Amino acid sequence: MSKSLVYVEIDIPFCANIYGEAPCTAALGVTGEIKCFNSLATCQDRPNYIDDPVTLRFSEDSVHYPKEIEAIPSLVGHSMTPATVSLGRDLGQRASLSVTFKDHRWPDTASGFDKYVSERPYDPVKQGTFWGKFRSRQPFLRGRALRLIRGFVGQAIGEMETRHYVIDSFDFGAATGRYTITAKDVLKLLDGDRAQAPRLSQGFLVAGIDDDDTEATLSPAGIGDLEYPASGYVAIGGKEICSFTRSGDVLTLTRAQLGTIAIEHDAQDRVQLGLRYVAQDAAVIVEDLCTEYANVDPSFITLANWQAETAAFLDRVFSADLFEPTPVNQLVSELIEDAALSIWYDEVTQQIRLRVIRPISTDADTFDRNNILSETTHTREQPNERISQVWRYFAKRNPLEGQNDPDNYRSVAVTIDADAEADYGSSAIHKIYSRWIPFGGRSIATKANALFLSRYRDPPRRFNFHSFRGGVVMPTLGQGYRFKAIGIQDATGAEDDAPIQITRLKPGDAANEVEAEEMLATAVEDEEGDGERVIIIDGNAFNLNGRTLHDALFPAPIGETGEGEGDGEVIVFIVENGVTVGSTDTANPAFTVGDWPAGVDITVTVNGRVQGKGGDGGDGASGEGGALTGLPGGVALHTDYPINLEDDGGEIWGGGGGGGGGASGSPGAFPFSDVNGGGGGAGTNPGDGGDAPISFGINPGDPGTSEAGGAGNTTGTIDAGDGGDPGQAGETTTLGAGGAAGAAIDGISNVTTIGEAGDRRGPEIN
Amino acid sequence: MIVLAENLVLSPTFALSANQPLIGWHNLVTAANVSATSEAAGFPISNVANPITAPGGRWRADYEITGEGEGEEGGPAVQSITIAVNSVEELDYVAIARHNLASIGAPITIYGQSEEGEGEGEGFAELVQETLLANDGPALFRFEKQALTDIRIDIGIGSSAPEIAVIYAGALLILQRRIFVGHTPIPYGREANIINGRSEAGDFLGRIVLSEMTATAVDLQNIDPAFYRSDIDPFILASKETPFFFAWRPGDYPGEVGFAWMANSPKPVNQRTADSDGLMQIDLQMTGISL
Repeated sequence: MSKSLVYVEIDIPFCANIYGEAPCTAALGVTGEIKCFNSLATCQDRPNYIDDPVTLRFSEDSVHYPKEIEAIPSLVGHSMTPATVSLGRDLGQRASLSVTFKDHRWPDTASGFDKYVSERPYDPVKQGTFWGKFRSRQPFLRGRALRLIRGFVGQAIGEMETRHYVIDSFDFGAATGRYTITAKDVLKLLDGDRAQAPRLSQGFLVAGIDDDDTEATLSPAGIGDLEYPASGYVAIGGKEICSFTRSGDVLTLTRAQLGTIAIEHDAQDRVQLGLRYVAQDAAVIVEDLCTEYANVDPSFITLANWQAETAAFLDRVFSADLFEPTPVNQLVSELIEDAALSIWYDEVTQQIRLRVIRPISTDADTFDRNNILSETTHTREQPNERISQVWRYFAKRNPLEGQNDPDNYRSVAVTIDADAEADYGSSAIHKIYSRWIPFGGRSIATKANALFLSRYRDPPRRFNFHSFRGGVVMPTLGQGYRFKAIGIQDATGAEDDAPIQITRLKPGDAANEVEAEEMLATAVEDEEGDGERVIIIDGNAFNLNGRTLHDALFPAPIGETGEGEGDGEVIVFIVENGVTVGSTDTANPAFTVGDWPAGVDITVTVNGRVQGKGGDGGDGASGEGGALTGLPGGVALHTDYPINLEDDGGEIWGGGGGGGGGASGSPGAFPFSDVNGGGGGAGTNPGDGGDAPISFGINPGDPGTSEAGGAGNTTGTIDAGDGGDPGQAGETTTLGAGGAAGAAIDGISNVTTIGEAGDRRGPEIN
Repeated sequence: MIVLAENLVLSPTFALSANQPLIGWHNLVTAANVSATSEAAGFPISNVANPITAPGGRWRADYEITGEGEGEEGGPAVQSITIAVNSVEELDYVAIARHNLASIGAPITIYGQSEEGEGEGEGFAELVQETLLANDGPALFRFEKQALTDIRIDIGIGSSAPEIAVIYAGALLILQRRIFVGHTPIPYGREANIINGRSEAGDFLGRIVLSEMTATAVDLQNIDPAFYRSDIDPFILASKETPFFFAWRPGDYPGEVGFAWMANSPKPVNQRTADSDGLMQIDLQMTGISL
């Protein structure tokens, strides 16, 4: 027979000083009428207070408690609301522990009570009570450690199960003589009433700025050095994001960043420092939010373990731009939903755990009728948990605008399980607004959707049961098990087992009360096969760099590790049908594959269009200098790294060259009037029509379009040339040459075409 | 346990009352009149003057076991606890609770003096001979009733520092009637809250004791009304706040002593008619510690 022991320990603040002895400067009759009790509340010299916390241990009042373990036997009982682990949805619910003590007399001796008890003019046993005095001496308990220790006679304290909590509040019922402490698990520190990220910035503009000013001064004086780094990003007036460098209180600004527009700002407009996570491991982001913004003790997080988990089962990075203080628990919950995580506090090991949603091993420990206490099993269907469609909005446009506004997102990944809808007779739609998945992250969004659907396609059942304390299979919060019960059968009636993950665990004196959810998640393969990193370009974009895109979505590639040929990362870029990747500058290709370590296997699939910028048309002749040549078109696809190219059905078009300029009079005559401009080359963006440097009598050429070059102006004597069509040079005139065609592919020797080549227009060069 | 002074056993008056129930509630020990050879930090000797038995409410000698011999610097020494009772009342017992003297193998001797000696230690006479207690349960040392100015408790060297939570010294309440039937000796009055574990398959998974206490009850009957008023009622009054030592049949069962406190509010009732001198009855429900 085992004899149960329950202890509660609390760490109270206690001063190491002796009253009136250096460094304590307190003095009777000067700083107080009686000596302090070495507590914060009774301290008479706070600057010299030296906190040397004392642990008080309490036990229940029962004769079977071993006298070798000293404890004050005033613990009446404890009640616990266990934490709820949310599997892939949010942070769940916090554990709450309530411990109640009875009041009694106390001699004020022993460490942590009254160092000067022998000098007091009263008998502490006869004057007042333990908790009455404690209430007055120790009112500042919030945030202090509380431990619930449970074991059996024969165990030393160190061998017992210890659960760690943080004191949240206390209540002393003076009339009833009951003192109750409420403590929470450490994730309570992430709540919005105590943790926000980024921190609120207190600086504001000392004077208004126009929409093109590049300098702003902060107020109040000195706030720059106090709150703002040497460089970074700020949001001004909650409307515009600027990057900055700082000197004192003066910011040098680059306006209109991260999807915002430059506008005027008034004096007093607030200047909020931004917090940016760019292509970070989810583990790193959560750790940073917890420790930097929620004051979670870093020792509660073993980051290396988290990173090993995400590297093995997630292999994605996430980004977000945060420019308004936001509750940390909200940010972490959003990331949990995007990265398919479960995060919980393990009270026993004093560790915050992170686990990626994944299937339960078939050889996991099993709870069945042999180790479940009789008459404690309950199963419940949860039809409201079913999901048949996941709509995940991502690629947020403007960090300053609505988090839950669909208009603020460029993309949405919709995953629908039509079979499930047919089976269950209706849709069950779940919308997610993701600030953590940037542009190009469709494959991440889609995979997250698939994970979500695999878990909730069929509503997971909830199981409750009790296991005997000290049994062979001990339940652990957050861990996966197999579960067998009479009602769990296959279609033939044969006994089946269910994969479960424990979501609530209430340790009791004799039994552990377990609540678990069926874990139906299945392994979800990546878009193009397991292990591939797929980057889907599903919206029109300009001047993309493949490496930059990749690094915003995945961990940096390593390439060959020397373990064998072809063991580098497999990366696939897909330009979706109907999507155009263009360029705003003929000097820059529309799509640059970028720099990669050797051994990375890259495939570029073009189902839509990659198109260089069209060259501008040449200006018409002006004066004796003659007309100008049209400008060359830009490159569509550039690569210095070997790639596979699948473009059958897609379009890779160089920019058309601009048409040469023309004139209205005879060559050499001066001045010309009504000069003719050349047509702009085709492209995305297209080239502008040619113009003239002086403002009289201009006959400009037509700008190009994405499909064709613009027409050169033919009003005067000498016609201007037409802009080149996609991949074509501009027309040459007698006065000005047409611009060269932009290349469809620059770096063709690095390209291996898979299948038939697609519609390529323009030179293929090296 | 009960430890009787050797000379008390030979007393003819004691022979008649050897099995009369004893209640040690009267106590002259105060924080101001007790002192000790040494006291560990946080465990002052003043703690024995209050009835709190919990850790932190105890006295512990400042007594480092260094391996050196008695009397040498840093070595263990006999610990003396002196109580300046200065009593004009006659005293006949000393009792201790929540101690470790048996565990550490430290013998205990009780001395008393009726007048101040000229020098320290002079004038003390042995009241109860050196005794090695059988266990760490409550111990009651009974001696011939006498007026004393000082009581000294000597604790010999043990394997570690001695500690005592409670010391009472005073005059015993010796009940008029012996207890024969219907009483559970307090060491055996164990009450436990136990949970049995049975699996869904019907297998035994174990038993867990959640809490345990000792409790008993004494139904005192045929109490002389004058005795109740003169001797028992002061005890009942004091028991509202303070615990007491209780030995139900000290002659036959000297080991069955409890340090107990009331679990009810006992009220006497008249048991007989006035013709039978108004004999009284009172029911005492008590819980406490016996080991």
